[in-house]
Amino acid sequence: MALPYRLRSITKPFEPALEHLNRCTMRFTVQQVRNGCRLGSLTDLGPQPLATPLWMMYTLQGSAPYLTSDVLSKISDTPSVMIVPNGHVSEHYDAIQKYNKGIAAFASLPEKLVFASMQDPGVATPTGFNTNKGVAVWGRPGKTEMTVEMHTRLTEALRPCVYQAMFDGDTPKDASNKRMKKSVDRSIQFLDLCLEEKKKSEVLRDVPMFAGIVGGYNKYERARFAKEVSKRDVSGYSIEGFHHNGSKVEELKISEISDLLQISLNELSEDKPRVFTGALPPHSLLAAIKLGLDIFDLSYPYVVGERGSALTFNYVFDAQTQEQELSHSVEGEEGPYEMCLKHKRFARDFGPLKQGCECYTCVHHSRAYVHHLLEVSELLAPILLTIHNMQHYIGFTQQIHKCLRDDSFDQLQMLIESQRTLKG
Amino acid sequence: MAASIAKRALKFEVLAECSKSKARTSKISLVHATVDAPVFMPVGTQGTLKGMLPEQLKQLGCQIMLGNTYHLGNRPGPEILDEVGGLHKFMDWDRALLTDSGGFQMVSLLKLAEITEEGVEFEAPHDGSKLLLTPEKSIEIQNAIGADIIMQLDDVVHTLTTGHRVEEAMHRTIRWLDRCIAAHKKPELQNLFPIVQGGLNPELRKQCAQELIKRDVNGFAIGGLSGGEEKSAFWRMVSTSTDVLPKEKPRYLMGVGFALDLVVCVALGCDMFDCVFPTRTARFGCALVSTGQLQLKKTEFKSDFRPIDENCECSTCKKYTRAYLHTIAAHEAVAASLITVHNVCFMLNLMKSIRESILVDKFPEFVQNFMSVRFPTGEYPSWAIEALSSVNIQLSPPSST
Ligand SMILES: [Zn+2]
Ligand SMILES: [Zn+2]
Repeated sequence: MALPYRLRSITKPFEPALEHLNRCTMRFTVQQVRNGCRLGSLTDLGPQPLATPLWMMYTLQGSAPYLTSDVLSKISDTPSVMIVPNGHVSEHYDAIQKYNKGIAAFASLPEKLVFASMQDPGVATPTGFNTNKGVAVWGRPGKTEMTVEMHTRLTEALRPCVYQAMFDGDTPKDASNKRMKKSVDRSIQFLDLCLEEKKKSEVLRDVPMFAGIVGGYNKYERARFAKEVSKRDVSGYSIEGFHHNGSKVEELKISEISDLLQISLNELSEDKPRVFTGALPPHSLLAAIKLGLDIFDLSYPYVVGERGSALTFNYVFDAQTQEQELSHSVEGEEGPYEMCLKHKRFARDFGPLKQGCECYTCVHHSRAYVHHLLEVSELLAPILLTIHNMQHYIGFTQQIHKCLRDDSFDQLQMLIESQRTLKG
Repeated sequence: MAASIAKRALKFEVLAECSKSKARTSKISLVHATVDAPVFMPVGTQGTLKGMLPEQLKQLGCQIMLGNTYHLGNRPGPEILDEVGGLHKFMDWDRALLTDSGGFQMVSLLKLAEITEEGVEFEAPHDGSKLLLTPEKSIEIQNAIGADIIMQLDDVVHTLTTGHRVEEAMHRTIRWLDRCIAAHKKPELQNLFPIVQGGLNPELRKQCAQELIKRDVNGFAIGGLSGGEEKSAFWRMVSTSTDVLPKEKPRYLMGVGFALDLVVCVALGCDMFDCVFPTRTARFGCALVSTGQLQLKKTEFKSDFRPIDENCECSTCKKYTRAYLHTIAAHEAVAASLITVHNVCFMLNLMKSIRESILVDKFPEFVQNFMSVRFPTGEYPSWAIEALSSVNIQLSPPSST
């Protein structure tokens, strides 16, 4: 008789589905431009066309922050594309390369498409570490100085659907003109080397590469760089050099970069997608869409969750819930779109994080419970916050699409603006 | 179902007994769940099991988990738990719960705990004020938490203490039990378990157990062990205690949960176990397998594209490779969740295999097989050989297959 408990040999490796990793050439169509906002479609990237504006899932070492793939599946309509910063995975190049099926499958999210980025939008990028040879990228163990050669090898191993060329975007607002010139000179050099490497690489030859559009806060450098890029064969643009990622991006004023951005865009082809990564709060996101930007990421809900907050802003035109939610006063480091569950006032508040929210967290758990978990530093706290914040922000992005289609984008902007000024 | 056991908050039914050893498999019907025993109870100290949703625990088949009274009494505190209707509701867990008395935590976590006849006196860790945990207070907090099984406050002495203090603690534990029984306000919903104490002295253990079984309670715990004592003394105390405790009531061996200890103590007649080890060790990248443990941070797993255990049905093993877990084990919080899921699944599966083997009276064969896999060279720990042979399970060297 077979005993119920015994050692069996362990040999079978995983065989995830990989159809979408076959070579693909991306196509981008702008379907509608209204008030500067673009509605578009990316085809031939994955199995389905992707509608823009598009949001990429934020990841840490290939996983959604805090969420196992099992728990991630409790969130509905998660993005098809995930952003994987080089610095998170460079340390594990050997294993990923040997695995030979790309970072998404390696991280057990084989159905996701990968956008390989240089920097991590969710965490502040330290400044002052780039050289002529390479760009400093950052992960848990610290800094890796990425050369074009390394960048190419790593990108090959990641098997992205789109990747960023190497660039030096280290141009703080107060950077000297010399620094901004340097950033442009280097980025042109890196871009040319990346294009060369791309041609030589069997894996990357047909993978769309986006150029990082730099030039900092200098009009002349912005124009100079964009002109150079326009002469080269890239599939899209990633707007860089305006911020250093992390929660500071919440303070970025889109109005202050719009002229500079326009200088860049003027030189570039209109029918290529434009990426703008970073933790953009709702009003900045809407303003960025109005400037004609197409692709964003979900680092904002991550950054909000990291300070123990739940997103509570309204994006649906429903006066009743709006009034109800706005009535609480803002405390401490709480932004205008969130409530910080660390506050004592939630200790006996047994309601959901947000009234009417249908996310897993709100259906099963209360503010008081999340407050308790934060108080005692339990791992379930960020898990529950991530579920709610991601689901809430995804709902917001769906509402943006709806408003772009039925021409109520301005109303949405007003709704968001009213919450910002009321609380902020 | 709840109505049928309303009069008694616990119903114990032995399904099968091992014909050689003291092992038995049973059903423990509680207000929130029917628990298949022998059972391993994962520890959710502060109203959550490390990085797992209650729903995930249910999917693994977990029927009962533990909460710690000392921690929950501090935060969120009994008032909030009372207000919301207990820990079950607070954490969204509709299956069974068990809480300890808080006494052990206090003595082990707080240096300044002083024990008097009144209770355990200690300094509050945040403001240094003097507080007193009495048997009545412990029960009051446990009534607010609302677990299906609650523990009496016992007088805990370090396992290696000898002499008069052990005897004093044993007698005090009995006196405190009577105070706990008197203070218990929800006997129709919650079962109060006494705790067999008596250190490493078999006479005291026997005496304590004999005294406890005179009380009208639904089950018993064996405490004061697993604190660094010699294993040869440990198993003898367990066996001495189970010899006295009645067969028709469940026996809970507190704080024991290493796979080997568990298998041996099932043979000695214990039904319930708890241990923080499987969940705590997950946070440090350690996965439990039938041969022992995998330290996933080690470079040997760098390009090991197999799951932790190919035969494991948990969501981690179905999707994740050792190589990926290796890359995140030291850095990402999600690694703790993934390995915790597996480790809890491993423990629950181990218990399931034990139960199934007792049901068909093949428990001795199970033990033999378990030992051969775990100690492939046949170098079984001598205490385990002794303990098992005391209940007629003789180990032979592993077969060379
Ligand atoms: Zn929610
Ligand atoms: Zn497993």
